[in-house]
Amino acid sequence: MVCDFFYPQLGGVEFHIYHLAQNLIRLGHSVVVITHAYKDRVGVRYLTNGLKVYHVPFLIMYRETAFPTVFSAFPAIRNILIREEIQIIHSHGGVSTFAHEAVLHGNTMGIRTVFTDHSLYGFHSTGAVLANKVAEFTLTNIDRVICVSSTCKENIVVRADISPSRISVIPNAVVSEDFTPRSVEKTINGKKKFTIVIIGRLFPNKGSSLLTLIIPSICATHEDVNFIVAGDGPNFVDFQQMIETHRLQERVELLGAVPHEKVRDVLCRGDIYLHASLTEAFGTVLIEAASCGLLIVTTTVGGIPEVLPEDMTVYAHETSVSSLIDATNEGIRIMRTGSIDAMTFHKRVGKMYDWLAVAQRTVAVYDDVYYNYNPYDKKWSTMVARFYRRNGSWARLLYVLCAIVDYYLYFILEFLYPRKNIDIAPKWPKRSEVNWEST
Amino acid sequence: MTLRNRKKSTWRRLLWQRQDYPDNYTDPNFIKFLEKLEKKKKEPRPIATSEDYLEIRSHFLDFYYVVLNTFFIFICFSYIYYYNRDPLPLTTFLTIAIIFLIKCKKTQVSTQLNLKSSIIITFMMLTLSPVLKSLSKTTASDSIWTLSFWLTILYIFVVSSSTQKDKPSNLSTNVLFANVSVLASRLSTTTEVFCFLSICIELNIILPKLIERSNIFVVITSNFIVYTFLNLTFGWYHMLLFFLLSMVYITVLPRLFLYWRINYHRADVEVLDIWDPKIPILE
Repeated sequence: MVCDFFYPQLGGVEFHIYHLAQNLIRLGHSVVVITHAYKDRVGVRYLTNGLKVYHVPFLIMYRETAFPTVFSAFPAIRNILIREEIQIIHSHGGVSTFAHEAVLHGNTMGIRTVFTDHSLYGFHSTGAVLANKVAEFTLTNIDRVICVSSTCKENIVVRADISPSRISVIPNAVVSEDFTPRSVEKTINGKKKFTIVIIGRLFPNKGSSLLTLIIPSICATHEDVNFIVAGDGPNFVDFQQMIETHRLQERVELLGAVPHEKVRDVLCRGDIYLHASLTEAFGTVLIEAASCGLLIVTTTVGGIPEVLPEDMTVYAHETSVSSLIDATNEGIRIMRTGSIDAMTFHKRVGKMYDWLAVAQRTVAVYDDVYYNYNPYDKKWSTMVARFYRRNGSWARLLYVLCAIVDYYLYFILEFLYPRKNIDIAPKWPKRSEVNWEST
Repeated sequence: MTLRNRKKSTWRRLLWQRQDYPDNYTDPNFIKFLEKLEKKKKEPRPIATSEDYLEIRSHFLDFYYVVLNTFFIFICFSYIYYYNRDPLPLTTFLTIAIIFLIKCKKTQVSTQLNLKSSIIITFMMLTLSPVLKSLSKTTASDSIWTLSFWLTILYIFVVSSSTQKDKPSNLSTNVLFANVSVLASRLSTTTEVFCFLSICIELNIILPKLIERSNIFVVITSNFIVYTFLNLTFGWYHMLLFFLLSMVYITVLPRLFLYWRINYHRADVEVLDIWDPKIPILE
């Protein structure tokens, strides 16, 4: 597994890699994570169940993304790949430099490659165009791509111009035990109060501007509804201002950033989860909230409509204030009448999204890549020819140049640091499957 | 095969339900969409009409006029600083001309420029002039020129990228004011500072509101003044260089841009906004 984003940083991609790796180990596979160094966290670390993490020292550019280079991580990555006898490289994240480099170098070394994309990209902004070109380069010789939702899959088909049959859709999952609903119904003075929870980074693309208008309006119409907002970001100030302008100190609680292990406790204080995101590939927090027994009120952007069954959600069909207010009112009405039993959500969500199932589906992809292997796919001439057949009169020549330089580098590295001088790392002793069954 | 024998339910676009389809199954609707995209890519490229060209050129010309207009800051500054002329007659003439123009177009601009605020601004400028004169007195002239250069670049960028044509943004006005106040410390008397300030404001903020920049007489006059200034101050070869550069800019670049738009611009980019972040509708 290769990605720029991993523990000690926390986030959707990081948890995805961690849980997937843990469950792959559980299924008897050996997993190694390669990421960049986080401050003094350099070198090799072991996490639970012998999940080995290589923190490669690297220059960090922006928001924990490694400085974008094409070849500079080759020596380190090659060394790790040989040491650990890696058979399949699985890269994560479209903006991760390490992920892209690992795929390129892995292809050069004849190793099978898989790539998982976690987000959606547009086609209009300069940044998106660049990201798309990089994705096009990396995914030219990829063996298999995994996407977290159908929407995400379609996005990457158009972005990187690859055959849809090479892309599998495997959703994220949730650790059901970590997101259990609260045990007792809370009532204040015998009268039930409703709490709406909002969790997420307070960024413009998470719909902060919408939320700052929705909250006062809902507070004005419903006396018995309070809000909890967890998360930090550039729009935090807007929320503070909104609270002060409308004097909602008593009814809106701003928590700031909340560590992931506390998210469940925050969710359990609410009855409705409000999600006003403007773009979303999957929306893990939605299944986390549903697992905690909250009714979901959300926009229908990106992959969100695929994620949860109709009876757990109230959709706002436009990303407008009025549409979201209508949906929230509908959600409050449903909770008041008690027509649904949100406490059953937990069991159902646990059945729908399970990391072990995700790992099994991922293993199926690995098996396909590994056993239906065509040596012709990893021939250098084939790969260069594929780069040459890409779109873009300049870009494709640049791709070819990068590929050829990478082959040269491979020869130089084989000469300078011969394969036979690299020690093979001993594997973490496997626990027997029986032990696992009993736990 | 057991799978074949069982009657398959149709594929649904859902993640929460395990379906009887492989993970790499593709939505048939999406395959149709892809085919449509492919077709759209193969469509013959539209032929450029002269209207397209004229529209693009008018955008390029707009920027050229902005640059010309900005030149007047430096023309006026050289007039006072370099040629040591008395700015008072010029200021008086310009002010009277502008008042006359406002009287003619009273109905359109009266909301934006009323007498009371004009008088207040004028008195504020009078009060500020001595301050501005001494504000950056201790800074070396070279630093002032460098600062002014970058402020001018910023000003051109801000003015040309503001979307509202008739009302320049606050940012551009502030950048202009910063530029003028930086330059003002090089002038010798308070009167000169006041005149310089008012000329710059009149030429760059008020005048563009009153008259159309692309009006043929305005264009000829401003071109004439700028070229005369270049010729007198820098010599004819610099003027020629500027002339050639602006000619290339006005005649060649729009054609290149149009060619790029038609031949290299992704033709299907219009339909690809489904994955863009949605725009929040704030009623």
